[in-house]
Amino acid sequence: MRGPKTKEEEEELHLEMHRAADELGKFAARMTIRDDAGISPDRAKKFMQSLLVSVTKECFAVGADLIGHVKAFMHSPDGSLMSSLVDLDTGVQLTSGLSEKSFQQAEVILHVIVHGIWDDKVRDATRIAIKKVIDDYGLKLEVLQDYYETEKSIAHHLK
Amino acid sequence: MKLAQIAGFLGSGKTTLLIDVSRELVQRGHRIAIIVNDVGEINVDAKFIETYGLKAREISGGCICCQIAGSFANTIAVLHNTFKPDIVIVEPSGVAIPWGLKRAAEYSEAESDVHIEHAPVITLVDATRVDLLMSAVKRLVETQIREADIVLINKVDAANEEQVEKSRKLIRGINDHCEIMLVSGRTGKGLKEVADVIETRVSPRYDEAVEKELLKQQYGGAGA
Repeated sequence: MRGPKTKEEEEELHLEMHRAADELGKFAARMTIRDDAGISPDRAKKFMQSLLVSVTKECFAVGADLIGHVKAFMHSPDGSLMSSLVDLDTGVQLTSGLSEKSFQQAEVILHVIVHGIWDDKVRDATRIAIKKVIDDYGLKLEVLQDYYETEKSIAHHLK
Repeated sequence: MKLAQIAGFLGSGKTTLLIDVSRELVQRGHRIAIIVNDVGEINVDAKFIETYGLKAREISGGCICCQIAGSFANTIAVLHNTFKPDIVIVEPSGVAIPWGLKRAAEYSEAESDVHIEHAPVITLVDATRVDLLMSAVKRLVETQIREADIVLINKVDAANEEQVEKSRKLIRGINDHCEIMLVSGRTGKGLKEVADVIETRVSPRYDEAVEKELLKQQYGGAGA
């Protein structure tokens, strides 16, 4: 058994490992959605399904060839809703902890990881999809945080 | 304190399995804590896990096997000092390296009086996507399989026989000594057996020579 001997060789292996990881394009955002007339649990579920499918299709339209994971967590005063998509044919998996009551506002954390395109393309495609779905559902949107810059996972090696 | 890592590529079903196994272990009387780490800056899994009443900590901003190993070690030490779990289940990011994570966990021994024991390293493989994954992210998938003690072929309820057999051959071709189990997060198949593994069995502690050899096999390098 013989491994790399120098610190430089170890660094090179480490960097190579991260380059493999960075074959994945990533984007994440935290936002609130609002409708003063109220959002029913059923509408919330359909919104989440549309959001994940739309984001994924936009990413595929600009070159993505594999879903890593596209998922979103919605938290409202009356419960939460988890949604996850790894295969367009299988569809969005929903796990609902929402009550029967409608709510006016909820926070949504969206996380997109796909293969085949870089972070900037994932960001642009995701933004297009979010706007489209928000408009389709007649909701108000406020993006609280956009994590584009911090998604560059090998940045600590690029001195 | 025993540390159990459930590895696997993105979308392989780690979070679902982790929640179900944790609930099973809680029912058996264990005190369980969960640490989740995602590739990205935001982690949605911890919030989801907590909706099941489980104790979860998220570590974001990098990979816990290297970039933020210190945060990971500190989190384990704090959990030991405050919550005192007997088992910590770790869901590493879908790109983490299992042996690196063992080393990072053992750093916590310098920060508290905890002694880390490792459960067998478990890696999930999504039987329904095995072809796609091997064509797109082959090296990552290979690494996680190569470093596993037990590989779970997941989603067997949705996969056909050919996909399951292909997964089995793939795993055996990469790692000829690991155990292979068939599971389904959706139906609960294999759930109790996975809980048994975490509860009763152990895996060796970190060994630098082993990790270097595994990295060399996977990525090559000047020492090859």
